[in-house]
Amino acid sequence: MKMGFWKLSRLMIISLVLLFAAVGCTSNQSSGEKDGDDGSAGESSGGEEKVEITFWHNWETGPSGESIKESVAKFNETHPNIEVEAVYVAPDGGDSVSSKLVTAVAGGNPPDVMLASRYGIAEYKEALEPVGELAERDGITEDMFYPWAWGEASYEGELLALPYDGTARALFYNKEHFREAGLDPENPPKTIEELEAAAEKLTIKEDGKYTRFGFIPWFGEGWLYTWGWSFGGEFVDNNGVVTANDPKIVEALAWETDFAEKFGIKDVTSFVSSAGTNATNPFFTGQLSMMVTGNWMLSQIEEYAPDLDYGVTYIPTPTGDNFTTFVGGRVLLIPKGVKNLDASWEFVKWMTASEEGQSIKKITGEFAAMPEVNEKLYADDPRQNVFLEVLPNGKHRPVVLAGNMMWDELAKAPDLVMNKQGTPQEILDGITEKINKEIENKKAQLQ
Amino acid sequence: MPDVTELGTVKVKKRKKHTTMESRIQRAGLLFALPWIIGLLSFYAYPLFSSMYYSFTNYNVISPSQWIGVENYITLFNDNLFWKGLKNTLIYTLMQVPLAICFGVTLAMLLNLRIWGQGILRTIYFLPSLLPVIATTILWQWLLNPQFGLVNAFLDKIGLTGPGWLGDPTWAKPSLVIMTLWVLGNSILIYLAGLQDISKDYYEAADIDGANWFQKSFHITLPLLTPVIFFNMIMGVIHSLQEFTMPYALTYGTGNPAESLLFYSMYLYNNAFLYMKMGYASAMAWILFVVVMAITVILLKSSGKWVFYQGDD
Repeated sequence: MKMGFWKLSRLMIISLVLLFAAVGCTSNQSSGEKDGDDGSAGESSGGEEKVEITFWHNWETGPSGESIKESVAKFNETHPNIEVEAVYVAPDGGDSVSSKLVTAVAGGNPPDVMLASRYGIAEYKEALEPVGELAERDGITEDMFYPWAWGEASYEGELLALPYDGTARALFYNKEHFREAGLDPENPPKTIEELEAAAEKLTIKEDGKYTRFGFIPWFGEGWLYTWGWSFGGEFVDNNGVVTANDPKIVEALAWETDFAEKFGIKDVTSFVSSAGTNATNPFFTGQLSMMVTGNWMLSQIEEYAPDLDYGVTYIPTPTGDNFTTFVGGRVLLIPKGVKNLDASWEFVKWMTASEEGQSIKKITGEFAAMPEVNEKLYADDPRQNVFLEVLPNGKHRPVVLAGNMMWDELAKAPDLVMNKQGTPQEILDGITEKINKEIENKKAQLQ
Repeated sequence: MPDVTELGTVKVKKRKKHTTMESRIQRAGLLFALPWIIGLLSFYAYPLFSSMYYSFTNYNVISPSQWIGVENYITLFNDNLFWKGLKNTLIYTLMQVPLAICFGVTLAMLLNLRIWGQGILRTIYFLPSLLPVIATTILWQWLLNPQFGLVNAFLDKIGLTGPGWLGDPTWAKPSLVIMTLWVLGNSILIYLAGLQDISKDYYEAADIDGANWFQKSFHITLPLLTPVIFFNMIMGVIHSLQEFTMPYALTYGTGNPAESLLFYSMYLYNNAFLYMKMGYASAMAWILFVVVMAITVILLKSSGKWVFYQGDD
């Protein structure tokens, strides 16, 4: 009996070891085979065999998710020898999926195409397959896109990926509140002065407590970028040196924080930190009369506050002209080391540079990166007029090697000034110095 | 004589058989554990030591790394946000751990009382621990909402003006501490086990001597619970020095308001995955390791003075 037990256990151990060895071998073998396949598949992609590619995106639900599904379905239908499989990857925070891309590339198993926030791609450009030559070969040129789209997708003249879409900002205002306060709803504020005057008239304070705010500069999409540009500032000079302490930007930041001081910083900040999203957005619930926000808000209003009587106008500027907007958006990029560059490129090209692919952006209410397409998509939608008008003059965040850090630092700036951590000039000087130093370090690293 | 030799050989034989059996068992055990040992080495030891290497390099995950010596560490010591993150995290730990111990022990002692509904109450107090951290965070964000939150509404009713909680730099960290005190279920469970472990003999002896509930609590229960408190304290310190999820979910990585919620591990994460400075982040991780280690050693050294084990003299 005892011997039997030991024999049995020894047998078990041996078989277990063999099993593990076998698993190890097969996985090694299969990955080896895969490597072998890569070369040949790349060569034969022009043949009749169907090429399968993976497309990573971070839009699963809502209109955005729908647009991805429809795009992929349509592409697969029109391209019989390429099969795109859309795979959802959860974003790290906000719109960023860079950590997943970078680890996938470092691990040698990247997706074939990825949708990513356009901003910040320069920082991980070593993980990308530059597409400049392919674009040149296929006649895809700068003039097909908005300047902000192409500009934000290139670093020092090198095209890193193709721009996919754009989001723009404008001033939304509640027409009913305007009538109540004796303001002309068809003549919204154009200058900063008019904006302040309107905000004061629209604000209601009862028993020492605010029940309605006319306006809060940094609420919604009122980033320092938004106001810096509206005040005529530039965040980077022609040599790629960051100029966040441009006097115009300092002025914008000072205006934002002075505004808060006028209404009481504590009340304003507690209002902002209390504000809800979606259905409880204070603009929808009537607690806020004006806000700077993006064009995606149009579809949200339709969904959550269909009866809201509102207007859309330019973001005011000190002079009441030269209106501009802060444009963000996405690119479709090809990671370094993809197996089927041609098929990946085919998909990217169709999505970003063909009317068919770009038209699907209509589902989301956001803009195509090609002006030509937008004119057709939104020709009969008057709410988009203001956006379409300022889009060609839209600004994109500077493409520098420390863009993400710059975003974080600038986003914190109003908060720091209001909490008395420094004057606008001091804070912005500090940021400028920090970012430029960081860029220098990264450049030295690349050489 | 022959008897003796015979006996001897038998003994030797027995021992020989014994050792081979033992070594066989040992070998089998090792073989069975091998998959885990390999896993541990490749998924823990390798990343651990490579992160130490990378902390001395310029490494952005994609490009090959360059050896730069201790430059990362020097830059860190001149980095404003590094110090801010460290300071915030230490202040938070200093508030959170003692409060968590006080609350945890008190609740555990109350839940240990033989009263009606004990089981139900214990379940209720454990339930929050089953919630995902993000859900807890969002829930408390609403409760602590300065304008419409239930907490400030209650304070308003009793005639107090509530603070701005998470929107106020001075109250942001205390708010976070309050949130964590709501999810003490796991440590309460450990305290409860510790309480059950205290021998009844002590209480019987105290009863005979006529001790009241307070005397029993402070002279028997608490001293004999110190090993468990000590364990929870160490775990709590390690955990709160690494606090990440709550402040990250609350501030999307910015640490607002006025960087009061910029925690050490948040800045580490931003450096690693947003700013593409994995080498720098690795250096931060090792500094955190040293800090955690140092605090743990100090606590361990101090434990001889205040931790009492049952049966010890």
